[in-house]
Amino acid sequence: MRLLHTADLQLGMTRHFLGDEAQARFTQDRIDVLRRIADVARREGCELVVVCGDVFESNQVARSVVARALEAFATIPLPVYLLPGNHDPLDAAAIWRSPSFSRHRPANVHVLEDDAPVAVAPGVELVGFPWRSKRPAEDLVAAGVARLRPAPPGVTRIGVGHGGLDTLPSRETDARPVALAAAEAALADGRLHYLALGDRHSRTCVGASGRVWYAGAPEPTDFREVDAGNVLVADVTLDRVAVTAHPVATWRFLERTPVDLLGAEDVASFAGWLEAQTGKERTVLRAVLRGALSLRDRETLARALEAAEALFAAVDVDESGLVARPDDADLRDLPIAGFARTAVERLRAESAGAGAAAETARDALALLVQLAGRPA
Amino acid sequence: MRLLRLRLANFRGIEAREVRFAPVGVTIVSGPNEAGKTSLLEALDLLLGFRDESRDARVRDTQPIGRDVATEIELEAECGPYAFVYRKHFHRNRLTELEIRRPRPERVVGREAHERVDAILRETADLDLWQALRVQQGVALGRPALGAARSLAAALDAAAGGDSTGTAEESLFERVQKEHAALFTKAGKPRGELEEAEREEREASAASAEAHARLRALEADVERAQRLDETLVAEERGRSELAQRALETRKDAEAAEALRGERDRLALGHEAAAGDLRAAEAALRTRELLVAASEERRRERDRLAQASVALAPALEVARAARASREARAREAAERSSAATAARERARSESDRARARHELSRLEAVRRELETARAEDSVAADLLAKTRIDERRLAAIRAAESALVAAWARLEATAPSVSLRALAPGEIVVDGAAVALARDEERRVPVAGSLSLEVPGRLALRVEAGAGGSRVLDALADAERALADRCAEAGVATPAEAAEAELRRLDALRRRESFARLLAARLGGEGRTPRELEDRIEALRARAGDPASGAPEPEAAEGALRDAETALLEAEVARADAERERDAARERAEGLEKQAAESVTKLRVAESELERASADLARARAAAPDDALIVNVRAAQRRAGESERALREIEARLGALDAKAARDRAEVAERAVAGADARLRSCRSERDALQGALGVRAEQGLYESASSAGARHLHAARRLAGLRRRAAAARRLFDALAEARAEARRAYAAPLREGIERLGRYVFGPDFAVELDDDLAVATRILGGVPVPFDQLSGGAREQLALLARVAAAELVARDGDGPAGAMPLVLDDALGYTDATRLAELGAVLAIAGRRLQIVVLTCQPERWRHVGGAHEVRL
Repeated sequence: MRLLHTADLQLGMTRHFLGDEAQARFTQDRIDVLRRIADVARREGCELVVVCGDVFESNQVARSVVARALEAFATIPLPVYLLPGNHDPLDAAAIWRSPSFSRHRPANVHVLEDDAPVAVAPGVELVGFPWRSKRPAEDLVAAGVARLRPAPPGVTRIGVGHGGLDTLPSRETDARPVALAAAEAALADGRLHYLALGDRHSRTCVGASGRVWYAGAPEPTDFREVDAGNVLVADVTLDRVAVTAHPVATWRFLERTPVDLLGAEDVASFAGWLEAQTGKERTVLRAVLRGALSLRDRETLARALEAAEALFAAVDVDESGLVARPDDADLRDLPIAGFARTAVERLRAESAGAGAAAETARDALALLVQLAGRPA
Repeated sequence: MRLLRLRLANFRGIEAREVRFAPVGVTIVSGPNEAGKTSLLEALDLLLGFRDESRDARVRDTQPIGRDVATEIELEAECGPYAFVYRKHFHRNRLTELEIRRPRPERVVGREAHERVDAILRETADLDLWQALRVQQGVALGRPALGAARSLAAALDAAAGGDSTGTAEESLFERVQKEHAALFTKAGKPRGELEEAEREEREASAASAEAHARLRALEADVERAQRLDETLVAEERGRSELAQRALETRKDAEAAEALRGERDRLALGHEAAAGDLRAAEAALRTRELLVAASEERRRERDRLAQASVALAPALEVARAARASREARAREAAERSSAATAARERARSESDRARARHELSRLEAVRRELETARAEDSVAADLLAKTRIDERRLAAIRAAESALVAAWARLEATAPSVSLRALAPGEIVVDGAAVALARDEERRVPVAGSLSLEVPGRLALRVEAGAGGSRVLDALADAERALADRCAEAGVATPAEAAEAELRRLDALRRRESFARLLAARLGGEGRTPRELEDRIEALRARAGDPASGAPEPEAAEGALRDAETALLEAEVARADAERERDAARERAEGLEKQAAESVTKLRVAESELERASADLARARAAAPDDALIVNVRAAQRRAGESERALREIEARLGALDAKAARDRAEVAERAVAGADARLRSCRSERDALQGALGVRAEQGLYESASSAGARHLHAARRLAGLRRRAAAARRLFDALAEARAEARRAYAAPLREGIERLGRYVFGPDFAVELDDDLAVATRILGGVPVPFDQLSGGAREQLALLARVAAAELVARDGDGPAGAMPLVLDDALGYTDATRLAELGAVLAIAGRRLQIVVLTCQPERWRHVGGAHEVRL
């Protein structure tokens, strides 16, 4: 039995750091990843696709996202089983029960609405553990497997779950995590043979059995996701599981923290690094800059960042640790004298300190350098 | 720049001219009007300002009319480290040549030469200042805006201890100002892009909050729907439990109800039996009461009969006592009546005695008053008749005095005739006979006229003339006045008047004394004479016949007191007798009444006894006493049986408590109804919510909320960036503006000092000026009186303008002919408004300034400038 295991498509996701145009690209690419998933499935000869929760970012995503997603699902030439997760639970406002979904649902797409085993192919059963609200009162997987009897002889049974795991560092969610022990017990006594999990955006194999996997998000959603951007192809038999990862992502979350900038060379090297990045239009950059620069170097840096902003999908640069310190060279070459010189010296004295006033004084000097360099 | 030599050829009307200038000090270039003084300046401007091929009108104007020749301008000058000769030919044979002699000999021609001179000038001199320092005819009255001149500013800056400042700074300042003004209004409020960004941020924030609120509301409804579903399940389970319980309790209640019916039936039977028993017992009790009543009546009749017999002897005794007491009471009453009559007689005697006494006293008073009243009426008559009073008497006396005075005047002024009788005889004077003895002398005054007659012998008439007549008239007036006053007072003479007044006063006194007497006699009694009369009449009636004689009042009083004592004793005796009589009467009557009552009661008791005996007999005939006793016993037995049956069934019912069972059943049924209602409302709420959610869930609220959130974030970031830029712009602008203002203030001091130092030569030691922000003279102060520049006379204004230029030029020149660029001061027919005295003083100022400055004066009246000592003079 070969299945394609993915999760956390988070369709309709918005990222505040993206501008309107980049956001549109991001949204479309998250849908388009389904076509690449279809390619992998076809290429690898998979029999079905499971999406372990968080297909949609929210039950309240724009209905155009639902329509476009379903159209993309239709391109997958296999049965696709979708599990309601914590972002898109089967609640009163669920997409799964909305007219937009039922109207556009392709025949190959199925929703795992309860935890009754579903025969999906000869000798293969799926058991879903769907979320019915954002805050279920119980560990859905543990409760689900507790109700299961061992699979009939010769039947491979695959569990489809969603949620954090009690052995992994928890995130802020207040839902009960999946108890790994309960899952492993079910795997051990033949109630399940593979547990496909979603929720964790990093691709992760959990426990010692090798039968419990988080596929990770097929398109990354944030910094600090490990091995996101893959789908898993799992070969599951009664006595063996083999899992391979296949990259499908087009987006990158690139973080460089901290960047120490102490002079023209640092600025040039950072600018060069920015320049050297590929796929900038699908790269979200985050950098925390530290150090002190002369006004001139600061100008150079600003121009480099300005250029990066035009090219990258998003540039989130924290410059609060970066001090623009006017040096003699900045100010000596200014073609000014007299009262203007007096004002510059005063601002310079002011800028030497710390605090908001010093920062404003530094900004004022930078502005002065900028204006003095501008033709009258 | 210092001008050394300027040569012109074919410059308008000037064929050839060369002027040499003193490098330091004053050069006075003089010549008549139209001699081309101003052309010198113009030539300098053209040489420095225009290329040789220029087609500018100012250049074209220089060509001499009707001559096709080159206009030549040649300047020898020193400029900073440079010394050069610069020449240009315009119109024909165009040429630009520059021979630099210092610091390195060099020769440049053409466009390059022009640019080189430009560069040298820019490097070493200041054309702005050149313009500012030149005083053109007609322009002199304006205030030179020295603040804009770079060299001056630099010099002033140097004087203020700073570096040089120039147009670059001003231009930078303008740019900063522009940057600041783009973001802030004059009042410091955000504007333009900043204002826009603030507005956008506010709007985005509101939009984001709203979108998120809608999303949260939806999510809350989703949760509510979830809770409603859970509630429904729980409610349904609860309802079925309640329904089961209602069924059971209803069954219990029905069993209890049947038992209660039986109990009610038995209770009715028992009540009937108990009623029968009560009736039998009542019949027996009635019989017993009848027997007892009959016995009681018989005992009463016997007792009353005995009492009636016992009463008779006591009644006889009481009647006898009553008769004797009544006789004694009658006697005492007769004695008391006699004593009363005696007392009345004594009282009457006493009263009459007192009245007589009082009557005699009052009659004496009346007699006294009558006598006094007669006197009073005499006095009143007199007063009524008399017309004299104090005022009239005084008038009479005054008239009398006037008459005496008139007489005295007559005697003093009128002529008089003295007569002496030689023999006794009689003469007639004014018709009156006068007897004269022998040798009797008589003096007769002549008032008006006097007639004397010796009867039968002689008639003599003497006339006093006009003077005597007037005195006589006065005398007659006085006499008439006196007679009038006397007539008014009703008297004949003044003496009579005095007597009459005395009589009047006496009458007044007498009347007053009568009034006092009346008041004393009557007022003391508080009565009027009429009342006195009435009293006398009343007393006379009380006194009775005076002839009957009467005892003295004291004796009458004593008799009265005795009679009253006797009466009191008689009254006491009578009261005692009457009390005893009344007691005897009461006792007798009480016993009589008792005897009568006793008889009545006895009769009643006998009739009641008869009736009771009859009743008993009738009852016994209807039912003998034994039958009644048997009835009671039978009824008692039946009631006992029915009560036992009732007790038994109530014991069974009590264990069951039918009402509680019914209540429980009803409560359980109501609980089911309540659960049904809750289920219905829960379902309808859930359905309504589901319907509403269905629509809203399709609205893509997450998308709108998160994109609104992102828009807000972008707006906030943009605003933060702009605010930072705005803060920088504001800080920079403030810093520059502050430093600039300080520098200006610093420039102002040395320039003002320079103007004042020079001005004191002209205007005197109390001269002072105030400069405005552009370093122009704003106010002149003389003797502490400030006058705004614009209100000064034309002369004063041009003098101040010149002083300002000299002072500025001095400041510029302080560092010598260095890069700062001292410039020559050119005065073109300046000071046209200035009088001779001031000219002398200004000349001295120029001479002093000329020690360090190159000054060129162009004038058509060189004598006006003769006060400039040591000037180099050039005549055109």
